[in-house]
Amino acid sequence: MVDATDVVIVVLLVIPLLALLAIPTYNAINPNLGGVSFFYWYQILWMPLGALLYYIAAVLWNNKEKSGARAVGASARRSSRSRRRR
Amino acid sequence: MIDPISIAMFVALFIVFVFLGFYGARWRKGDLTKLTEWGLAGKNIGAFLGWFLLGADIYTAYTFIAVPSSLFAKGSIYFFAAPYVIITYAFAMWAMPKFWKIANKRGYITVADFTREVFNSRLLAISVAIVGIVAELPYIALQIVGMQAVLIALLQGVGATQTIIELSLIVSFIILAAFTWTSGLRGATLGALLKDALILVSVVAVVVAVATLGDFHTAFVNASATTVHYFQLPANLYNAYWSLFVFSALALYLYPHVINGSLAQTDPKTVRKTASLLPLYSIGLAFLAMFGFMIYGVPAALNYVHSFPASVQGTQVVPGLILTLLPSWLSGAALLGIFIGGLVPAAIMAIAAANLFTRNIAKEINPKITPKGETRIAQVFAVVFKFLALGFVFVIPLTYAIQLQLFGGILILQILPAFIFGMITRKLNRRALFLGLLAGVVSGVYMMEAANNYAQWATTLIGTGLGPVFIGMIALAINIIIVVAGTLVANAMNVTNDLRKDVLLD
Repeated sequence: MVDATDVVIVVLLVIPLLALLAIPTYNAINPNLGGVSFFYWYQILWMPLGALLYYIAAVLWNNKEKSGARAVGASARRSSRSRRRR
Repeated sequence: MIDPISIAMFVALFIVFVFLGFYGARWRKGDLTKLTEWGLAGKNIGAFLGWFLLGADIYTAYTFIAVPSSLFAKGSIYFFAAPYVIITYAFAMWAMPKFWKIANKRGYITVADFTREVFNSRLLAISVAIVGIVAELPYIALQIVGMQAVLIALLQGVGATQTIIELSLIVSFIILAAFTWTSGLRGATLGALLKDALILVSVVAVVVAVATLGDFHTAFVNASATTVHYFQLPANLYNAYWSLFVFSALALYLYPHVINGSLAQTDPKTVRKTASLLPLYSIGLAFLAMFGFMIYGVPAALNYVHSFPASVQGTQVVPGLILTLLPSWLSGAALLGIFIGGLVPAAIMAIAAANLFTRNIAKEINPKITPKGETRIAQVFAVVFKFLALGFVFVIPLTYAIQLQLFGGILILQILPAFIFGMITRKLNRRALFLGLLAGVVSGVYMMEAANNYAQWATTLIGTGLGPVFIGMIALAINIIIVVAGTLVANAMNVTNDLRKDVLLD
């Protein structure tokens, strides 16, 4: 059930969390960036990095669901439409 | 400091905003008699618009007023808001598409709908609805604080400070109540477009102005001279920091108004893709947060902030920077952006709470309510909830307004077992889930009061053997322990659970 893609998705989603949980590694004033301490710019850096990793995970995840979910999704749409008609 | 041009700009743009709100209500009047049509706006929001709308949802009074305020008053610990608005989207990428599919298949529009059917329990559904409603109240109160902060900035110099505070609170409250009553969610959505545009302009203008005009060296020297830890985290606050950001991240996507926004998108894949890119939007929040100490590099703004009593100072950080650094026409527009940046979310939250009340409480008690009656109940309660929310404004010093949002988080986290665990397992006992929720809420409120010595709320951290930690984490742990223990006991005693097995989970 768990294949390589699942592992990659989980790893991509967990990396930013671990990077931000490791508080002692980034709780420092230097190296500062134009007067802004490392504590701040390190965490800000994880915003674009996080978006990149999450986006890759989203694409992998959505592609993975495409094959199996198409049939289920179509029948779900049909049944909800017929329910609405009633 | 205040001048007629910025006031004129503020008023002119506010008139445009109110017009859009009323126009939105008229334009879709036929739909407004149906309560369900209010909530989801036709499930027609695609990836780009969804990213824009949900992203702009981050920019409420929380971002503009509460976070910079608490950073100014208490230092680096409140930068937890930055990691919070990164990792919350990883949770959303998993939970929201999953709930979207279940909700679409079964016709749910609230989490209480889901818990009612899956656990076959009215008690659990009504409890989840009540917690959802009550958790929105302090969050709405935070928006009122933000609107008030803007009005103080705009009207200062007109009279005594205390009079202005009281007057502006009443004014902002009446505007908010009138707005929600007359235009509902359709109007709020149309107004939200103007809000988003103005807010993006405000964020960019203020960030650029502080970055170019602020003196970072002075900021560093002056801020270092204070007793507040601005530049790194004191070692005893590590557990406070991660517990705040991890459990705030789990709480965000449990709020009724955020779930509404996710269900309104076209399909589960769009929901996931939209969420994955939202950390980009958080960059603006991080900069606004840092204004809490950057203000030490702008002496005029710092003097302005210091002209207020300590209990209000923090809320004037961003308005102060806007008034001192931006040209007056732009400062009027930016202040209006923050003002309706509180007003629109407050309206959306009140409507989400009113929907929940009507659909999962009133309708549950009296199933014979007509659709027209439903809408009227929702309208009345949207106003009632804002009055209740107003009560929360008085229990905190305004500088610590962020505690309102964190208290909402403590409450809404307690529906996590019934909602999130309910989506992945059928093994939990419904009575144990109810008892856990009850224990989580009661212990959360008790710890909140105890941590603040039964006085005004200035913290949501409570001292433990591991140093101060976020109360929401402890209350949720108590909740989960009771759910698991209760389920084991029920299984040992062969208590029937009677769940609906046919509700799709995958």
